[in-house]
Amino acid sequence: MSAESFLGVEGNWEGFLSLAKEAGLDVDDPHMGELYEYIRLVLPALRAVDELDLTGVDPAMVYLPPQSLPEQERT
Amino acid sequence: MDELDICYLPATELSGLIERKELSPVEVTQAHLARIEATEAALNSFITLLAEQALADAKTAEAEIQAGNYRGPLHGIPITLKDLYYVKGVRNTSGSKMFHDFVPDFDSTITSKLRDAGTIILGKTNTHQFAYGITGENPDYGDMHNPWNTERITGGSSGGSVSSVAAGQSTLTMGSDTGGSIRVPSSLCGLAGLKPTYGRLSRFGLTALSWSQDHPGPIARTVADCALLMNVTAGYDAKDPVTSRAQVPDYTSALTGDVKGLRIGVPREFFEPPLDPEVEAAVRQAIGVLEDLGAVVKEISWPMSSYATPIATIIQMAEATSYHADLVRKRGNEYSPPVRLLLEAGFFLSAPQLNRAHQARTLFVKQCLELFQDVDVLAGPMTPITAHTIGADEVKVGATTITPRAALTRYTRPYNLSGFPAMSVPCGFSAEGMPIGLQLAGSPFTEETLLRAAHAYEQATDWHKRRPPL
Repeated sequence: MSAESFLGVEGNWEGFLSLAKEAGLDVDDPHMGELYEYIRLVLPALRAVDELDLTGVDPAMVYLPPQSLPEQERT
Repeated sequence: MDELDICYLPATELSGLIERKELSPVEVTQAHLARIEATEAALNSFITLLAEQALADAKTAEAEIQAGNYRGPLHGIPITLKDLYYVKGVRNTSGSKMFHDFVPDFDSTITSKLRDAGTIILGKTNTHQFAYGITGENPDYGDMHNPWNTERITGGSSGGSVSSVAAGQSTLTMGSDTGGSIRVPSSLCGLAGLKPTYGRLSRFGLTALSWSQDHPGPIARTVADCALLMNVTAGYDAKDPVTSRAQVPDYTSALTGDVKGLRIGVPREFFEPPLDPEVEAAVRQAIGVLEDLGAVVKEISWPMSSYATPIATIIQMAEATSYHADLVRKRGNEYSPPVRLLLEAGFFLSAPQLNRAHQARTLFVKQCLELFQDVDVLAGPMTPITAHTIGADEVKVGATTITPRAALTRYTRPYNLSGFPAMSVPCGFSAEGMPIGLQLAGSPFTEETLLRAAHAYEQATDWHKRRPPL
């Protein structure tokens, strides 16, 4: 599990429920057990990204800054 | 020519008959509506059929053409739209009963362009819920069925779009591809499907799944028909800030049949297990055909390709969960269980984890650009398997057993993550009679090259001429 994900390898049922509640999910829903098993299966597979050396690499952001100053600031 | 022959004519041929007034748009539309009537119970391609409106539009097109106002090669040509493309006044469910009664009051940009070109919209097609799935199974509107074997999946999420064209219910269709949803079903149903460069086509008026990986694109029975759709739908749109101002070429004129000297790279990683031996044989043979046509083929290594899935998945999960956050909290039990799990799992990603994925994306794109300094096109299998049985939780690929999702998206993610164009073109059939696809990919805005290579291959083979036994 990624050290940077909320639910690390040490994640347990109580920690999961706490995070689920924080996320606004209904922790009394019987479906929570299925979700718990699912994320413990799926999220570790994403850990491969941690193997990459990303030193000095900027994130690929989609933010596009304005290409010119607003009219009133130019005058 | 009987009605079934009309339904299997490509737009490139149908348009000539319509322009010369040898066939009217009304006759063409009636033939397709009859085909839908005959096959829809077996396929379940449509969520909303627009039979009356289509006939009315066909009559208008006929009157325009009779009056000498022929608009161009898509005038009077039937088309279907995945039920994520807004059509003014027509419900847009996104494949979920939660939006069963949602009716947009405007057209998507692509819908507008297709209307202006004179296409006849036959209906809105079935999709995996919110396009968040790769098999084409949908508990709300019913599973989509593969015309080559109706017990098999179409692939998704553009499953209804693809079945509509593969079965001759429509001439053309538009799908969307966030993790393979144009290319995978095209491959599994024996069609040509193009995921263009990110920003080449407008996303305005389409239900989003993952903003930075959503790609609208064309699907058809021939590469030339995909080119016709690109001619009409590509281009800058002020309503979609990521669309490119790069000039839109005439994609049809790129279909020269000439691939002499084209440099084709074959990543060896794409042929490592798990890969069905039948698929591997067909794809290697297809690459051999391109080589025989004059392309220069060489094996390359793409070590970072295996990272595309985890990087793309983190970004997709974060974006999709963000889009659905309120709805999944309040109405989670109205989603299909697999889609609900994917959306809820996104809440457990962290901000640093997402940012790291965006950093990795930068690195990935840089390596992709370096790869394309030595080659013009990358070639490989579209999927490691052919269409499996509907409802399967696992699939066996050689000696490996994996989930359908892992199998079917194995080769798709690199191009959703990078935004580079990629397409699937039919390259054979399994012993069970299921289609196999060849994937071709290029650097940004090289759709002309991809279409040229795919068309040259298509013209040298006859896979695209086969009809499903339906």
